[in-house]
Amino acid sequence: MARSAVRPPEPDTLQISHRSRPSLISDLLRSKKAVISLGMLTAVVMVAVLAPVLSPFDPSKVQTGPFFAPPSSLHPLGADNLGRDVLSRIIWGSRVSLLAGLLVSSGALLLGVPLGLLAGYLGRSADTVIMRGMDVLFAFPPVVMALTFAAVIGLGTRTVLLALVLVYTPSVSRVTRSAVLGVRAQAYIEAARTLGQRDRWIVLRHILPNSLGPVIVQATLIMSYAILSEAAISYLGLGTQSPEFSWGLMLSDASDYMWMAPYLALWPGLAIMLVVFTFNFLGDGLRDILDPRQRSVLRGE
Amino acid sequence: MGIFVIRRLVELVPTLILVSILTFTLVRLVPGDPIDVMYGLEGADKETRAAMEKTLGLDQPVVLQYVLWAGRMVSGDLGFSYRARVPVATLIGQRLPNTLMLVFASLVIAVMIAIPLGVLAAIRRNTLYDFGAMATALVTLSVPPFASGIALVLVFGLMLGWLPTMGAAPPGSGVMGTLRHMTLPAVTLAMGLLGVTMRLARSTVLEELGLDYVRTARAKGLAERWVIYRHVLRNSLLTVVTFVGLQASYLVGGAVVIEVVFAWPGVGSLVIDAILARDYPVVQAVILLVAVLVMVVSTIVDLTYPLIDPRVQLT
Repeated sequence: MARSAVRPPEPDTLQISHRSRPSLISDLLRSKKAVISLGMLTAVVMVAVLAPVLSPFDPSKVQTGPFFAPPSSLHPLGADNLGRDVLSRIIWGSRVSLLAGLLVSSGALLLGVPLGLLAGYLGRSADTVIMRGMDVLFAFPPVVMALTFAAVIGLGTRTVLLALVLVYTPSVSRVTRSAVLGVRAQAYIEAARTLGQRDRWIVLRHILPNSLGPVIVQATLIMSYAILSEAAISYLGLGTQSPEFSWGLMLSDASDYMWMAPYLALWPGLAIMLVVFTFNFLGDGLRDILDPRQRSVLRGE
Repeated sequence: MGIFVIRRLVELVPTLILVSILTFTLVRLVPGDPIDVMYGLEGADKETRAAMEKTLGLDQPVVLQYVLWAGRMVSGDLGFSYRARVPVATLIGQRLPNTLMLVFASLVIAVMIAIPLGVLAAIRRNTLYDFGAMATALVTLSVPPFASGIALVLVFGLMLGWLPTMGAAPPGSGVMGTLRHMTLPAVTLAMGLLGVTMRLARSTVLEELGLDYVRTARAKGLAERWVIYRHVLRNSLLTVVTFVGLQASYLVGGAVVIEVVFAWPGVGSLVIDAILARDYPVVQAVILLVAVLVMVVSTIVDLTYPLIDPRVQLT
């Protein structure tokens, strides 16, 4: 049984706490998780950007080969029920997934960070009003919110993304708020206030930068949740609509032909898993770097 | 305790009212009025329209409409399904037990598997077991639940033929029949919760293991097993249980998708059919119900704290 409780802190922990200006980039490069996941992410982004060059066929073109063609040199991942090339569709589908992750987490950050800052810094009634409002949004599971929006605005990728921004905003504002509460209690904030600095200056110059670590980790995780949710909603037929491409939509089509061509469901499933795994792994890596308390806990120190 | 419970319930009221306003407004924003939707392409003539507006209360001011609607919801009158031509309450009454059963079963599966595995990973930290368990957790976190559902249908339903893959057990098939039908959907739904619970159980236990009182317990010669069972687990499970309780939102949302994969007759598949058929009273009622359920469960989780951890004072 390990007796780590009495072990002295590891040398690198000491170095970090002594360093005056920690550089995020050098920390990132030292974290294996971060380097691996950033490498994977770069690869996925390249695939999405270079989709027109990389995909062997036009992803919408039917009868590029026989229906349900098994994997071959012409169609490395096979062809679907209309004879469309699966590899090309997977490559193009990466765009919707990455866009979902990126737009949803940026949207949630844009809304959630200011709200969390205000709630945490102002406290009192502003805090109550903002956080109760967030509770309301929090009561809607992402898929259910997206379904509601689909019913109201109509089906499509845009509707889904809008709904997901709204449901993930509360989690950003909560994380921001609690980080702000932690930072606000520090002596240097008290000092800044005593020096007569303005509230706005204190918030932007001191509180915001020092609260961002957990928020960045949360944003990375929201990317993975958003990709999963978009895929699920498209699978239900309420998100991305044909003839656009989405891995969720491919899975939905594939499940109709599962007994004939099970590999049709395999590829989009693996693709979603790989991208979500990348963001989860990146989130873990960033948490190790940005949240020292969590880091020592996870290492078992 | 009594006062705390009452206060928590009273605090719920404003949030509930806001949720109901949001639900009401969202469905009111639907393009085209409900009468057009009810009568479809043929449309309603002037007299019928006026009569229907009166019946549905659409001739009243919006605020009054909301108050009347909210009053009806509270009294259990959830409206009338345009499509099924039965009260929405009847539809939900038929479907809700199936959803709750599914959610509960998956919660039990996730907790029974994930907590022991996560705790073990913490105790054997930095071993091959720990590494394997955490890698598995990360992978299960990354698989979309509906995709693992499809895989399970393929393997256990179509290839091996061991378990039914569609729908709930027909009436009269007994406990075993019910369990057999529920196994695949419940396992699928549980898988989404497995990884995250394992990781949390591990990190919470690790954090607790590093505290001074654990060192004291060990120093006084207490057997490691007792240190873990009597002290560490007791103190760290609070966080884990709270967290699992707060996953009600994930589970209900996940259930919507899983019900479609397995044609499970719950409220999830009900609401999706309703959206596609533009059956708004059903959509409105189910969405409100889900939001209320999520809020009530979170409140119950709050209220169970002192049962697990006497240090938590309910004030």
